[in-house]
Amino acid sequence: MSMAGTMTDTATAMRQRPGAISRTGSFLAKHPVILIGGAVLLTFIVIALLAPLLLPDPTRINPVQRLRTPSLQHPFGTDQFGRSTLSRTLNGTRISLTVGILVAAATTAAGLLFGLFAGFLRPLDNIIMRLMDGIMAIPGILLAIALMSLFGSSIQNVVVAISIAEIPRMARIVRSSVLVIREQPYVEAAVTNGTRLSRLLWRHVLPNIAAPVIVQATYVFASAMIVESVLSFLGAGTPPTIPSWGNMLAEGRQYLQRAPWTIAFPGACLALLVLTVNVLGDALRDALDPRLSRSGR
Amino acid sequence: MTTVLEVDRLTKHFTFRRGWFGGEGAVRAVDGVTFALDQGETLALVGESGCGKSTVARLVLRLTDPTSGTIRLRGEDVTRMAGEELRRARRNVQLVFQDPFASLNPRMTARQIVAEPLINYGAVAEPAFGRRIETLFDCVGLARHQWDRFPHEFSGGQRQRLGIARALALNPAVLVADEPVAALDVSIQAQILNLMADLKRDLGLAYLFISHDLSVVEFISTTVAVMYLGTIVEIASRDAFFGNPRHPYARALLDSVPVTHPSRRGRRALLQGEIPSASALPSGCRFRTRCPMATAICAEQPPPLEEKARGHRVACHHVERKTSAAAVQ
Amino acid sequence: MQQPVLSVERLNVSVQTADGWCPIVSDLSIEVAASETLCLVGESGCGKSLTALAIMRLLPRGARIDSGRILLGGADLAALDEPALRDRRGRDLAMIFQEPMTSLNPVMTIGEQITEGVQRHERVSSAAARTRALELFNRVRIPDPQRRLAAYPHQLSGGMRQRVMIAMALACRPKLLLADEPTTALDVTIQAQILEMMAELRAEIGTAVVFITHDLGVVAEIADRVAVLYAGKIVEQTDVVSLFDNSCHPYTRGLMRSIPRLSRQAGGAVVDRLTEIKGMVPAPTAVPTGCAFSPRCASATEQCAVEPFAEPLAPSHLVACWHPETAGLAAIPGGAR
Repeated sequence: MSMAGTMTDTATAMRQRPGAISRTGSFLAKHPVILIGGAVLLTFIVIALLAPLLLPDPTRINPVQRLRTPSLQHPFGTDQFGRSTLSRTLNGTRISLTVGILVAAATTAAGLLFGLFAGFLRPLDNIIMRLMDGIMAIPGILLAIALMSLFGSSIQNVVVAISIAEIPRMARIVRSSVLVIREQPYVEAAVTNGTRLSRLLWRHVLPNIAAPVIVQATYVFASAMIVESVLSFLGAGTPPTIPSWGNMLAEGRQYLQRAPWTIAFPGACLALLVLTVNVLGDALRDALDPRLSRSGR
Repeated sequence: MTTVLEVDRLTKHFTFRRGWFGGEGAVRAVDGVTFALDQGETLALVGESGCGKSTVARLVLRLTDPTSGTIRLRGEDVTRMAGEELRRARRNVQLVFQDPFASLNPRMTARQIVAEPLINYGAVAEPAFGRRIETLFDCVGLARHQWDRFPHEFSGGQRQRLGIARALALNPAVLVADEPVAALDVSIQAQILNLMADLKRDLGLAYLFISHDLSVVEFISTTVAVMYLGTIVEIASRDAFFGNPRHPYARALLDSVPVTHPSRRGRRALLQGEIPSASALPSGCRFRTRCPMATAICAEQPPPLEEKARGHRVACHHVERKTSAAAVQ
Repeated sequence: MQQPVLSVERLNVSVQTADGWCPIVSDLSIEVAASETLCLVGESGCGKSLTALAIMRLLPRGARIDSGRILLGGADLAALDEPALRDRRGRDLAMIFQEPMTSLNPVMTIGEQITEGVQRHERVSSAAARTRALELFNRVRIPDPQRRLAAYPHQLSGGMRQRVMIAMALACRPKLLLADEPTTALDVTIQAQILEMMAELRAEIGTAVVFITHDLGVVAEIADRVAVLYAGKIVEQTDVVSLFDNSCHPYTRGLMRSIPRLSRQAGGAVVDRLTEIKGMVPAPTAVPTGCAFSPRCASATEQCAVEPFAEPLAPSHLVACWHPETAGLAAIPGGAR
């Protein structure tokens, strides 16, 4: 309702402008979901960074200790080669997070590039968007599998393959946001003020499409981690020597009855991490949308 | 008096396709508009929605490309300019918007908004830069503690002040104002109109003032041009126009302005019907379908915009007759 | 005055904000008689639109009636439940809005919508309802009504759509018509046509009209009586002639002086400067205590820290001000403070 809008506008106007830190603090206090989600994600990141330093080598084989149930010595048990499931699971965090973050970053960068070109330079629009439609017509997983078999198995190639499948959606979101923003009077104002195209994009367009892009990036982040696991599970992803969650799930599958812990821990971690990132994305979308939030701006 | 803006037979047609297999149609949004604007003058373009007044503003700012005609800014032909050349020419003409909020980037502070044109042209070097911004804020009456606020923290009137400060930053020769007070509260309109009048006097600006509100136009303008369906039907000095409007449409428009006192109700002849579509214009005079004076000639020939009295140009076949009839009475 | 059709008694409306419920309309009392037009005048955020929606009992989510009575034809609308209200809306009271497009169904023809409205409240055949629709279209001077009945809303101009809305609103001859800025989005020549037509219809049907506007020119055209709202309260209420001749509240007087007027109507030369009301309209969450207008008022004193109550300065001329400008009023016995 417009009246409520005016009210909050003026109410904010009357408050003093606080510093950046206390502003972030009050933003988090107003959005507890972001606070909790952020804390969980941060914990995963810390684990990913510390795991190789604190835990035994996740690839060290110990045939004597095969398929041990969780105990004080092996809190998460061991797998069929006697490797510590705890160490493998926590080290696997690093693989998932790396893939998720890199894919999100690559997708955002490429999506922005294609989306901005398509939205601002009309002749390129048809070419770029038809290309994107073509990629989107192929199911993402199939495309990734095909690309992996083409490139060969490595973490870099996993990132590239998933990114290619995710870019079109991001490019579409950027393009449609750009098409809305470029019609805004403040963009026309910037043009009459003599703003050059580069500055126009940087100061006027990018900040105002940031919200949907950030939200989409978190979804890409979550989906990339799942796709990585699926690819590894199918044997088309991370090389089997690297302890990724997908590889652990694939290997543990045969021992599901005898040693469920080899699957339970990586599976639970994957579920929790994906859930966290998705919830964070939803909360960010609500917080960054000025229509839904009063403090997001 | 120097002429800062000259527009000659300016035309803008928008083409569209009629369905999948139909031929091309054209909306003649602006059709042969000619006027000149001198320094220190305010030319008001008046008309109802769809008359093409806002399109003229966008053409003058080169936000849209004209179909034909020329636009001269301070003697320089800007009609076909593009790229860096156009960007350089643009600093001479700036725009004040109808909706001040939508015209301000929500993620920039007041200071960044006003500074941007100066940065774009490297217009003012560092020590003077801060002073220039200060002067601009002073000009429009925004206090120091408001400089670092975001647009949503301002009221409607303050946002329009901010928009005006931004438009003034480059010392433009021409300020185009597209319905600058139409979106403001009644009690705020007077503040902004007074401000614009003061600025014109102090800075020697020229305004191209687009409005549908004749009372506002009479207050702010020095010259009035009435538009109907893409053409100017009457153009005259303010006093000549409001003292003796000649075109039947201009008269009707003035008669339609709500009265200022209940005792004056109902003393007028209302215009019948509605504006025809700009994609299916009537033949001859475009106003003839609603005109009480229309005769056969009006359907055959479009009336030229002719000088009917000193500095008073009207496009109507019947204006002479009407004046002489009035003289006989 | 004859028996009022609508009588609103001490209506309070508030809306939900981040900091709780915020009052928007405070102790608003109005009465409208048959064939009478009451104009509610005020600037954005003064609560005039919410008042109309409250009377229709169509307040949006996040807004509520806190207290007050809305008496129409012996019933208190504020106390009725939704089925009872649905039965009355369209029959006893109807509303038209600034943008008719939002209240017309885009996928139904005009004719279907108008006959449906008639048949909802009256047991008539489709043919009879259609005849009624044609008759209404003639009444609101829609040219070529047969063809227009088969048209979809987007095929009509803004002025035509507003005529259709008026026809639909008056289809069942309601006792009360609420009009929320119905001509604001229209061109002046069309506005003049619509205002003239509304005045004629009101006289013919005898409907009481509450007309909401921000435009004093429209008030001068159509009002019988006027209530001026500022920050959710009526600051002045009187008949239209005394409002324009002897407005007493400093806000009303300020508004009158601040609007530019055509010299041919006002007489005399064009002014060089307009008289401003300093400051700005307060946000509903930050309405000053006491007299809400006092921070912008030239004649404000310490007394204005206490809220003034509406007092009759002349018969049926209510003003809520400690320092009303009464120069134009004849002295009233007992009216002095």
